[in-house]
Amino acid sequence: MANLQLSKTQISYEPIDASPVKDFFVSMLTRDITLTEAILDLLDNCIDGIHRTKGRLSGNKPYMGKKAILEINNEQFLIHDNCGGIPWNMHEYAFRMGKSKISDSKKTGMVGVYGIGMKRAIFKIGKNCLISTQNNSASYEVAITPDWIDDESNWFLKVDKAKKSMKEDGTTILISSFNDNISPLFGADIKNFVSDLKKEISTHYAFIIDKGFVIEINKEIVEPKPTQLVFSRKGNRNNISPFIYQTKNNDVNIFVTVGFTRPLPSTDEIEAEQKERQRSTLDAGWTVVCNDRVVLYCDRTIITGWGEAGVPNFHNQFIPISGIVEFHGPPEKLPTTTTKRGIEASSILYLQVKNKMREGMRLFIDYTNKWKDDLQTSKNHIKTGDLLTLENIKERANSLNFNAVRSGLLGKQFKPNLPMPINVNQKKKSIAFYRDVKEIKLVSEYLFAREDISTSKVGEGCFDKILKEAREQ
Amino acid sequence: MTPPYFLRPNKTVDRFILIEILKNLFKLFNERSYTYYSMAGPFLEDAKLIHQHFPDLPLVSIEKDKEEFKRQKFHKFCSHIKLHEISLEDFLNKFNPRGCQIFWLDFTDLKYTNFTWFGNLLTLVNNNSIVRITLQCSIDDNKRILSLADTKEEKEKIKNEVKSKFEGNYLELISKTVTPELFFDEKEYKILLQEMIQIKAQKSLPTASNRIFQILHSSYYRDTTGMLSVTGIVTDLNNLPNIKKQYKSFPFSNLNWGSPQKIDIPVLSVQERLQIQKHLPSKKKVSTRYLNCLGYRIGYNDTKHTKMMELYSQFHAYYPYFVKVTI
Repeated sequence: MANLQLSKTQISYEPIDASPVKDFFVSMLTRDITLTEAILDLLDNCIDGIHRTKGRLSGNKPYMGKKAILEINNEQFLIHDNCGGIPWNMHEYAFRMGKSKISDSKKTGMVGVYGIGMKRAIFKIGKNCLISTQNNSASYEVAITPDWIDDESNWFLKVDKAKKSMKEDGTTILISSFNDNISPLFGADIKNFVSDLKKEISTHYAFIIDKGFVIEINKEIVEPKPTQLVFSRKGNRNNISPFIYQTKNNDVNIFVTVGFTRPLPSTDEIEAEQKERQRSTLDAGWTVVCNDRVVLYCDRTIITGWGEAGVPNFHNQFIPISGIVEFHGPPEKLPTTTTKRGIEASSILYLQVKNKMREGMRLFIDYTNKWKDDLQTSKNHIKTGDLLTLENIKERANSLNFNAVRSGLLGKQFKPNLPMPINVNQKKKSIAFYRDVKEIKLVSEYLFAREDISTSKVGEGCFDKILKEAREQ
Repeated sequence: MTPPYFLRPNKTVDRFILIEILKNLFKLFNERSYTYYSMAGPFLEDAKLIHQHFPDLPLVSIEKDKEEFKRQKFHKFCSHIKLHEISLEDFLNKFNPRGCQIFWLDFTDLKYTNFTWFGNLLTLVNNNSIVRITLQCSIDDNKRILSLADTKEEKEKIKNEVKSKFEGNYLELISKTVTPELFFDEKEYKILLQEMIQIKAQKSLPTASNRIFQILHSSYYRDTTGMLSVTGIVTDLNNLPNIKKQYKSFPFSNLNWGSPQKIDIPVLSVQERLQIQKHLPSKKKVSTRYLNCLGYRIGYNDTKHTKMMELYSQFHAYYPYFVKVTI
């Protein structure tokens, strides 16, 4: 007891060392993201480079001529771009762990806010890295080595004049000495990894690639997979056009559109979707785009308004419904998470936009409910339209008559006058029943001389045959 | 009418290659620890062949169709084959095997679920198990649809639709950039399908799990429809060098996911075969004497003739003899 009292009195309360530990950045922060997300962060830096050097982008193909080349193998990871490089006056932002003040990010079009993306991505991949960059007269190299990572006392990175000059201003990042969990992904499992990476890039960068940017992985160009909506050439009744909402709030431009990507599914297709995933569900749901980057792809959850406020949960009946929400503005005002691959669902801005997303979605849910018993007529409506990408929709929207929105975020909107059946409930009813598969095949063979006709067609065939006989009686 | 399974010469050769793979396997591991599982079809053809070469191997057949199952019972040829009337999905859901497995997923079609089941199976079997997957690998339907188009624009549209539909169904299993033409080119298409199997295997057994699917052999053959068959072994990484060493000298080995071996044996009469057989086996590449031994061409030109004779030389040991028997 006496000893304890003695030790209490002997403590000298000196200032606590709260300086950061490198291991936190190298081992801990990197757990927040996947390897694919880390690579997307590096690609984001390429795009930010274009915005930094070109300023405000305009026209249909503002990224034309710009590219990022990735070479991935079991020894090294390399990303090279011609997107302007890192200006010398930005070296602190680019290489410091975190960002002291919001400055450059105020430029519209960029997504970097926290000053952590590139470093976190490098540490995620490996321990040895050489960053070479060229911007105007500045041409320099920064090496991150295992020794530097281990040395807690040294937070300075050595900068050397670049050994080679580049044809165009840009940046090359070369990483080796892969982390233990990364080596297999770039080695024995590379086919799978590249397949996943391409899929992510083809969706998350669909809008940027569509606007001219080229991304190459191991000498193969990644093709974009943009969502396309049916848009009638005529604005009259009995045609399908998407719902469109546009506004600007606190420097952020917002564009919302939702519509159909394809005709309504038959009961057979819905059943097949439940048993086996088909392509049709792939582009169903909402895609959210922030400064041209997709941050949420084909979401069908409550985050994008499904299953709340009068909108039903997503069901395979709704596979033709797809929407795009686009935010354009200063990155710190966009409703994205720190990883830039998700929506900050509690953002006031996003919640207000979500009201409009649900409003548009309801139109098309209502349509699918009303026409599900007359798919052929509905198919004819949808067939009359063109499949348009977001940029094409924006262009065609210029010729539409918008109505002013006087509540919420204000702005303007176009509500399509979707065709509705006249007293459909009285005119048509569906018939559904279950029969043994072998018996269905037998009837299919009898009616169509083939046993692989869809069950709905077999059912219709039976009904039509009996109806004809009944009429002839 | 398509020929029944037991009268398909190329598939028969593919079955014999499995036998050769197993002979090599049993040089490394104890045959007694293995059980053979397959979707053996109404005549239990592959199970019969396995039984003929490895009579002590327990056999299991999976069949969901009631009538086919009855036929299997009718054709049951030994007491230690277990016939299960069950779907593959249900079977795998209950599958908790002991020992090692030899599992042949012998699909006749191409569906996303085939890959799913293959991936599930890889995670279920024990180390040193052999898994073989056979899938339909045919561009015939695509070509047929294309032939219906009249204009160049229509053809392009159809090609793009075929590509888009395929990519939509299998996007997560495709690593390379595919062109619409690929779906009309048999050679490229079979490589794509094999790569999809490779990707599914990597997804199911990533190297980090310390277990991998090591490919041993792959083949492409066509009796009526094109089929792709990939055989591999599930193993832990420590055992991999031994396995590779064992199969390195195996004449049909494909240890690095190379292009599938084409099995396309020429149709020959018994008389012709007896004549050719006099010049076989040949250690060297086929000789001029061998090529001219019939005194006429069996292909429509010299190149095709040489190719067919080479294929016969390669697979002659497994070429089946079909005999008409009157009962």
